[in-house]
Amino acid sequence: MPAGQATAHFFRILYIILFVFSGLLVLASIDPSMFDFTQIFNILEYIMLIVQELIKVLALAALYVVSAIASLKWNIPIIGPIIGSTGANITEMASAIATITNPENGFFPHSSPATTLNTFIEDFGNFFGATTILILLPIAFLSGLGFLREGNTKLAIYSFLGFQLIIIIAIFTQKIIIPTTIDSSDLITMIFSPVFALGFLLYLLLEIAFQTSYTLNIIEPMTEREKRIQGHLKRIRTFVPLSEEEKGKEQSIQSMQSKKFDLLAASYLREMVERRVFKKGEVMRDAKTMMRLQSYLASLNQSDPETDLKLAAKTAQPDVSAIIRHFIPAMILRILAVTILSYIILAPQFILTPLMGNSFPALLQSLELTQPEFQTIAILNVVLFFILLGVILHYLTSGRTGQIFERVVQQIDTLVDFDRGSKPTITTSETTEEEEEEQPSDEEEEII
Amino acid sequence: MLSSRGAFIAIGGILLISLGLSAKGIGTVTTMLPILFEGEGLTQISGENNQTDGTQTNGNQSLGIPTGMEILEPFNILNSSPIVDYAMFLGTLLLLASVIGLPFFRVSANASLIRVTRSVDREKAFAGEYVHVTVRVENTGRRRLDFLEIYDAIPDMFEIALGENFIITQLAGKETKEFSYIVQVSTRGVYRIGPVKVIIHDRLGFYFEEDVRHFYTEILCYPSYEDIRRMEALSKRRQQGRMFGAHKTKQKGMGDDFHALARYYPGAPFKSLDWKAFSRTGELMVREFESEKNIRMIVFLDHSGSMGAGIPFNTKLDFAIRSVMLVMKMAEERQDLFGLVTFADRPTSFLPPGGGKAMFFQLLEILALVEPQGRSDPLAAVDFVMQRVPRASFYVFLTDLESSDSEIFTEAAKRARSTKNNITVISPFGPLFETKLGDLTATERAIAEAIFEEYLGYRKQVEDRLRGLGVEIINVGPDDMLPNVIKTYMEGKQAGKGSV
Repeated sequence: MPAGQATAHFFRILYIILFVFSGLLVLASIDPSMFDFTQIFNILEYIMLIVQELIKVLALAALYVVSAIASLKWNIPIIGPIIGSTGANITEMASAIATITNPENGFFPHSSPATTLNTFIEDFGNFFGATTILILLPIAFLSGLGFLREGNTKLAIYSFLGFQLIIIIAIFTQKIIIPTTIDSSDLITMIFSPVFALGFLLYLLLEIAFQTSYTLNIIEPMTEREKRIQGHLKRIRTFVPLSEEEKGKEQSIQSMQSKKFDLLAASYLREMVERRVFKKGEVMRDAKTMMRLQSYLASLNQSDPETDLKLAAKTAQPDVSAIIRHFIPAMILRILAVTILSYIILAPQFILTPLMGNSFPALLQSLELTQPEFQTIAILNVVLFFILLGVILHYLTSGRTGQIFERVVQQIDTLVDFDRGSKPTITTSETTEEEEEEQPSDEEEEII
Repeated sequence: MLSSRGAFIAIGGILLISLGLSAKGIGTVTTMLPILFEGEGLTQISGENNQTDGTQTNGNQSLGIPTGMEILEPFNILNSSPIVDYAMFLGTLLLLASVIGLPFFRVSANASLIRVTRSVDREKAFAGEYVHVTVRVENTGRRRLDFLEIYDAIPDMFEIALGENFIITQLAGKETKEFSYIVQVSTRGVYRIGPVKVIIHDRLGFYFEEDVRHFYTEILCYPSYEDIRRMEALSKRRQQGRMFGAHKTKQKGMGDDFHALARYYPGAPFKSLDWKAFSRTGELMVREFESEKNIRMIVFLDHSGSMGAGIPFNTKLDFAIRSVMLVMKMAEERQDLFGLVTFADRPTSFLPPGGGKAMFFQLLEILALVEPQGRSDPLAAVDFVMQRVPRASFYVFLTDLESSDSEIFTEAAKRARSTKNNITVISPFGPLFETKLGDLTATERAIAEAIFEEYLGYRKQVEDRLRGLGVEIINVGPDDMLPNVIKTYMEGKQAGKGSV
């Protein structure tokens, strides 16, 4: 197995291990009641309750209207006498409606007027939890598996989001069974706080996914490209045009197929079979083009023997050893830096105490330092600092400073009216020959 | 610059921090974003704060519930430490992750330090031929680039025959990498390979820098050599029919080749008497010889807008150009003088009658650059040529007779005939190049036939006028254009039209 593919597989395996571990950890961190999918149907009770309450209100309204009509029937012009003649029916209708509105007659199966808001919230929480598991868990797992197969980082992000949402909803619905407080008294304690560790592990999974995606995007396409182009080259070089006899044979096969099947279907089948069996697919060209390409390649190879390597981009293959040498330490450093900075932001006393000493005890012991407001301000400053640092460094390294410096020097030269025609003087201990020639001798001076 | 992936992580972080702040009771997610970006300050709108400020509070605020968030009270999440802590922690983590690599990236990713050069094995090629393009990428800086993408843009008319015109790789400091690809140029014209797009990413794909290098390599693509190659192949196989082979301009007179015996006529040179024939027949017979003469042929190629009509790559102009190439090649082999003038509303290029390989390549360059445009003015072209080539020649017009008034054609023919030039007009008939009657439905065919009729009516008028001036007109379609042009040349040669 080429080294490039081995590296890509290494990152894949690393992702699989972390993925499985994180998935199991997420499942172990949430209340098993979230897996009780019957809870989903409980919410239907509430829907039915709402429906029956609506019916009840409508029935009461109807009863009121019917009663009013029954009492005033003779006074209503035109309609009154008509209703009056069927007065008995109206009375019956009123009593029927009255039975509907009576909760004790068992007409409503979902009558639970005593349902409190707390029960509702509990049931809603159960419903929410079960639905979350039902929807998000498959998304998280399938996306993770999809990422392993395709190397598409979007899928890794979906997987990360799925797991994170499960945890957030578990916390939200109070269905998380691990301790949820993040103890930021020191870095190690914070890292080993269960909820921090869980969240961090999921973040780590995302980082590894990005690294895996990088290796997949860099190494695999290039390796595939090399293989593919070498294959094309071989096929072109070994291409032999069909003789007239073979052509005739091929045509007869074609015509037989055409008779048997539809022409289009036959050509499609033929093409598919050729692709599958002989792998002709990618560079199927007509014989003349192939021959021309063949001779062109031969002439190219004569003039430059490295043509094949260039075409297959073999010289541009990424250095696998560099990936291992640079990326793994860089990744570790990056994760460490993120963790330490997070800790500094979440528990600023860690950095402020050595900086300030005992100068501002009120500030250091202030409860406000651990509040989200302070953390937000701190994170904003850190983010802006990094952005600014990036801009400054880019500016310094892009060579623009040198250009600006030169421009400024030129402007200064112009301002002080420097003799621009003179050569820059080099201060040396010895006089150069040119200078000696330029300086008139004493004798010449006399003549002048 | 943040990529979509980096932006996604950063926005995710901001939203989580907003969620944490909301859960803390500072504000809703939607109100937090303006606060964060407009710097309004993070004032907790809690009942306690309001009470200490001595302001009036309502019932909910006294419980520490921010206005507008009363609905969340029963869920017991406001001021709930777990959700706040987790959202803040995760938000911080994501936001930091999205920016922490930025300074390092900005230091190393300097696209101006990437030097890209391109070379091609040939700058001129016939349509259908291949060009090998090599791209060399050099990192002139000292820092390593982990993720570099280079895209070399090729014209739409080019087809990649082998290799790929991009590369995704990494590049160490001062390192150089090369890749190449072979393109097939499909149709004549001048094409530019380029620009080159350089994209630098960080390893995680959070940031990128893009630069487009506007440097180009020009490829001049001659018209296809396929027809000539086919003709040469036919000649080689000695399948020379009526159209191919030695068709010399034979004129009786001085020469080396015996032509025929004829009766003696007074004044016939004495040395031409054939005594053997006299002894055989008893009559005085003279031997006649023939001389071989070359012709001077000038092709007038109309490239007005209407000549561009037709199926792409098989327009009237494309066929006309193929014809010109073929005739030129044949004329070169037979040592005839061949000239070309291309014209639209004015003469655009002129190749005086001559021969040789150098001239053939000059002709190819002219034909490569010809584009259909403007109206047609054959009179201007005739005047232009007559000023430069005053001797009688064989004028062959390749024009569809569509982009100009019939009077102008007539005038041009009159002018050309006045100096004893022979004229033949080979006229591609527009509708034949634009549609295939067999492919049309009954209605479409009826419309097409009506259009045919109209075209023919106009053409008839022009033809009548021109024929009156001794101009031969040949109407051609895509199937018979090339044979007709060759035939015209061969017949012209045989007849000694424009003989030198």
